[in-house]
Amino acid sequence: MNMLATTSVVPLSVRPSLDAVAFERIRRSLMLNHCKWDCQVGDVTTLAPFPLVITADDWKFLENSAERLTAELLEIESVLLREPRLQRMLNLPASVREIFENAAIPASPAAARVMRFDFHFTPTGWQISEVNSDVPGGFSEASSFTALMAQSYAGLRVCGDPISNWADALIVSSGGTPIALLSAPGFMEDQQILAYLRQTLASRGCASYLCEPAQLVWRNGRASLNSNYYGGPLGAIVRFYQGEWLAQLPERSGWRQLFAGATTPVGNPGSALLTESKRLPLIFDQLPMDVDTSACRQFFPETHDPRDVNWEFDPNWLLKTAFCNTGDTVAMRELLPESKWAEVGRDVRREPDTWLAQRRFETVAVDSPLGLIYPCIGVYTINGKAAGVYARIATQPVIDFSAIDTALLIEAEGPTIE
Amino acid sequence: MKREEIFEAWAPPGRPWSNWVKPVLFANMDIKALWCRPQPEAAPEVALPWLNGVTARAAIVVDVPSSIGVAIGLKLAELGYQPVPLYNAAPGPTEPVSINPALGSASLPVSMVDMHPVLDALWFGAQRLQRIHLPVDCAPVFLLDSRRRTGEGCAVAGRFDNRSVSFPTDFPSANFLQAQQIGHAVLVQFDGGQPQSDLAHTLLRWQEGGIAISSVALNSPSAPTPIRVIQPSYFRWIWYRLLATFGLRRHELGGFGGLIPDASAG
Repeated sequence: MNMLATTSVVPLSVRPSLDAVAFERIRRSLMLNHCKWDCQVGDVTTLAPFPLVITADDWKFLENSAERLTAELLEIESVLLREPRLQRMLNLPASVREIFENAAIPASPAAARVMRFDFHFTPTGWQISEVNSDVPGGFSEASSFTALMAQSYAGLRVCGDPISNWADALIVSSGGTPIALLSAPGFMEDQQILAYLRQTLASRGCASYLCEPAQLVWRNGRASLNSNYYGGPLGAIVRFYQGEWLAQLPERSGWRQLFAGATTPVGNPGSALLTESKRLPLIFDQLPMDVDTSACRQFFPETHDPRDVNWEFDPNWLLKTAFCNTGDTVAMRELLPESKWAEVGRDVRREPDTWLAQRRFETVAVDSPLGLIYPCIGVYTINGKAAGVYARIATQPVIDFSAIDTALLIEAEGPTIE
Repeated sequence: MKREEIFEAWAPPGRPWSNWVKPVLFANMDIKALWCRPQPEAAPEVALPWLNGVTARAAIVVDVPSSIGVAIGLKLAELGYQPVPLYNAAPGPTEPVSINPALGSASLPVSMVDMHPVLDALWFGAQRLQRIHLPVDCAPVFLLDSRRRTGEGCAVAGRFDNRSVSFPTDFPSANFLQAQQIGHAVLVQFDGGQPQSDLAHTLLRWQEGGIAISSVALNSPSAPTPIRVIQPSYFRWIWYRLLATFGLRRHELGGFGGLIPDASAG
């Protein structure tokens, strides 16, 4: 059973909203001091003025579950590196498969391996909708926003400080040598995360530089940066650049070393793309028997190739693409206009390998000042240890880029009875 | 002025449009450096003869290059509009970056879209704005930099590519505008006519939502002319956001938000 014990009590609740003045102070501080630059999406203010609260026991359960999942996924990744057939099932780009097929070139080592598991509380317990294994975001909300909110709620504490853990792990990995920060063009959402990381690294005395893949110079697997503002060796590379997008860059940009052949650690290494694929559950049965997938099977939703289920007429299935990053390709018939649903349907029939059908599950709604909300609890692990939470809420049962960020705080534990 | 005070001048609490102000430039203001800059002898004044033709309560969208939008926004603020800066580009590195003169780009600013004039204008304009008391029910004037998608000059080695795209989610919806008794939007550009393709996604949504759109050409000022916004490519596509941002990368190795690498590097 996925849920903690057998309680039917929802382990999540909300506290009253902060008054408007106090909350606006937090919001502005986030924008100006903590690199949160997308606080408004259309008509929606994307920060909730109230915290979500979880029981201490359930938080422990989520921490342990996320760490179990991480251990399994890392083992699965190491197996998948040697399995081109399974890589195809994951819809890994051909150019990436080609890199991994060359067994003589080892996968690039990890600099601070970060994952985020998106947990939802359902009538049958905790479940994840997906793992963000490649480039998980949400750090400013998970660290600064949560800490600022916690200051206003006595008796509640934060679940962690993932940006500090991430920065500390990167500094260890880099040995104090400057770090390169790569991000994809055109995405302010990504740039703000690297700006936040850079600020955190700087506060620890660690230099870091924003750059493009092609500014990296590789010699015998060691990376250095060749720019007008820094020329010299790099201790680590933060790849905040979706793996499947890197694979679209020209060969001479040097992106392949981010996947294999580097000795400079890369965080996350390109091999993370193997477990980022939302088609990952399709290969669980294809793995060797000695690979432990018990936590994955426990928490991942039932997933099929769209050709194997009746997604067109059975409302119990939702569709998403194998590399769906912010929920932007999640498609549910009743939530889409008919023309959009038809458009998705055509795409699924044309390219079924790029899609998957996932059995829908019911997230238990929580009453809040916004009405009923559907929480998504994104638990980070950094180098295998749980490190905090990026919590989002939506007023409909799907979490996408327009979801509202909230602080998840832990209820104080009761007195220990000897 | 502190950074918080500058931001507060442009996004005063309690005003209906403050939530839409983009914080990126304000967050990247180097206050110490700004204090060292000479204040302009006189803030540039702009004439707004077309404003007499705006007879209904309207949202104004100013899509002009560099800091001219800020000057127009400040002038309109004195007439009761709330300027809403929607500049969404990081200004670029503060470290010295030398442009390769062999590529003929030595006279170009480091950043593809030089945001420093806009940054200065926001900084100096904040003092002027602080003296203006905006009405609680003010209409908005959204400020965009018309160079945002293309930048200035070629995307050559060494330049910081901070081009950006305006998205419908950067603006309030037609429903929100109508709830504020706004049924009309005026697009202000140098040449008038149809909006840039990214902005067309927003204005077409507004048009479909019942907002009448007019256009003003600063080059030949006259009363606003009603226009029908033409449907842009990929309108309402689920993946428009992804397509739009990827479409920025004209240089095969460069792109928005990073330094365009020297082709010989790597």
